[in-house]
Amino acid sequence: MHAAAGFVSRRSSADVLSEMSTLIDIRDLTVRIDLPEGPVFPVRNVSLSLEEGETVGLVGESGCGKTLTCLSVIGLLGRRASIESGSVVFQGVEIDPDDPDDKRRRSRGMGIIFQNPMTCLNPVRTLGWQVAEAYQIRTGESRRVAQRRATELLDLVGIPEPKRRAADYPHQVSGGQQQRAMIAMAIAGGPALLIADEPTTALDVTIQAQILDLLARLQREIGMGILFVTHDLGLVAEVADRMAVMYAGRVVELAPADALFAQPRHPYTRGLLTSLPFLDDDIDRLTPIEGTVPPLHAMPPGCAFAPRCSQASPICSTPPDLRASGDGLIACHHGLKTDTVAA
Amino acid sequence: MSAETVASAKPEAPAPRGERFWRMPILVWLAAGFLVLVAVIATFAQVLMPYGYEDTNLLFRLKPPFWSSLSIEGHVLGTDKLGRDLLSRLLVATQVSIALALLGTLIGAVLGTVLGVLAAHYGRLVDEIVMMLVDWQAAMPFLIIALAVLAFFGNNFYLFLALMGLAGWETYARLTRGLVLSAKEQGYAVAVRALGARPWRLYVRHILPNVIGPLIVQLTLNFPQTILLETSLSFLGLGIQPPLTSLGQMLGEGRDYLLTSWWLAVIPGAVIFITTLSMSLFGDWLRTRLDPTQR
Repeated sequence: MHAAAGFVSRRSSADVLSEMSTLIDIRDLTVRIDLPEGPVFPVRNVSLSLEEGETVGLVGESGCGKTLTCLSVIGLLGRRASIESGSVVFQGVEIDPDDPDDKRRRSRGMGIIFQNPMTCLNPVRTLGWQVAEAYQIRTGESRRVAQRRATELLDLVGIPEPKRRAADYPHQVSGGQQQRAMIAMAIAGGPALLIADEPTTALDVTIQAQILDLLARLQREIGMGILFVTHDLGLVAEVADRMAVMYAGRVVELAPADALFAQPRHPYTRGLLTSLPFLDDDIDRLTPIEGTVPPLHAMPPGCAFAPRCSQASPICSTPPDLRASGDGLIACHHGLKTDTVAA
Repeated sequence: MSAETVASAKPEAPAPRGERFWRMPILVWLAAGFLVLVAVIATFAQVLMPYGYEDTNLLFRLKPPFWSSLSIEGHVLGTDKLGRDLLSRLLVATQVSIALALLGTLIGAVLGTVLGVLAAHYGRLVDEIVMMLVDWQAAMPFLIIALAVLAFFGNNFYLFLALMGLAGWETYARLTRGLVLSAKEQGYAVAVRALGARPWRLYVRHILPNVIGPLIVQLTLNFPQTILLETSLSFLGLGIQPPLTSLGQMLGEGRDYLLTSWWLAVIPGAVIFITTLSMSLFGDWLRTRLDPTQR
């Protein structure tokens, strides 16, 4: 039932791309992990939405909660992690994490690509078998149909000689081909949302570019929304329509990609950009962000970035809310001042 | 044209699957051949045996096999203390022992694997209970349990078979639990769960094929042990009861004549030895075949 509904809405999404509707809406999400030392909250009050056919880049350094945000969206939080508060609305229906039917609806509507394709492919099954399996689980089609579709999908993700490669085992093909097979699995059955969790981190640079091109092409052809998670700002700049910057479990800046790169408003985003080398700028030294991310169990009560921020003032001991600034939203008490400084 | 360029780019194009499958070392060939022979014997013992295995002939007691000048025509492997044809008894004994060991090993493997998967899947209380049973079973010498059970309930074939199955289930359970616990945190298992696969699909189609290698090795180690357990119990007179016979029972009977008619014990002993060795050799080879990363 759910699957049918999902398919109808997905197919029609291509026709009505002009009047975009919200594909996924994360509202005030807080994730809790129970550790022996007590609970920690690696994701706190995250709100983020994604329209159909849109690409949103979710960036932040390791451990900032971007992967956990994705996992709670798709329902893969482990035993110790749980959604403490907030909700996720997928295709207009709120997700119930405990309902198996709802979980099925989600897994049919979402695909996920993981960081390391080598470990995410089953070593004892052929590529074709695994893509067919993914298609079969999502659509409930027969094995024969699934196998035929698997070859088509391998072709779609740009694997040469898909018929022959379908009979290969993961260790027999290169990392780039493995990632392509992983993408074929993720898009099998046509999910409306693709979560790409650092899909190119384990690949070398030339392959990275190819995979990015592939994702962009697939999005054009299939019209799915992509949540692109990465710690590489340069990478998302190429593909993202909008960007969300996370720091220590919170979204600190949310803005259209162009605006964010042209004029970052949050001090952390600016820090990230100045610590990144650009070819066309002639800078002698990169400016790193001083200090380290506060540990999860010792978060400062106010702005988590305050201890590392050059503009920190007494007001930073109260937590800043996300508020409009320019074309986007930032969570900083000094947003406006930043503008004047930048100008 | 394009096919040619591909062929030249990949000089070591893999041979068709069937062709490569049959490329195995000579020792494994011998082992497999012997196992096939044992399987044929076990299946067709009643057809192959020259005499009834219970037929006694007190005139021809303890006659030696064919190589001796004292051997009797027709009794290729000689006769035992009651003048029964040793070859016929050996064929039936092989059948009984192999059937018992095979069924027993399979029962133990299936039981242990299922319990191991359940423990790994549910965790918490189920895990605690299964592991407690495993520890309990591992701490009790199984021969003692078997003796007690057989002494209390008397001997019958199905009870004996159940006991064979219970012997060694705990090694499968412990092994499976550990393998599954580590496999289900692997990326591929997470990826399949992300697709919304039901647990049985995840375990049967994805995880079990990955962990089957060690289980098969365990099976090949366990199979000889089950034969030996059957042998020990029959040797003690608690296993297969006369007039039915088994390799262990033949060994036990032959023990009394070791100095005068050594073949009565040595021939069944040799069958046990070669069968178990062949099983281990073949199982080890099979493990490398089943693991695509070792090809």
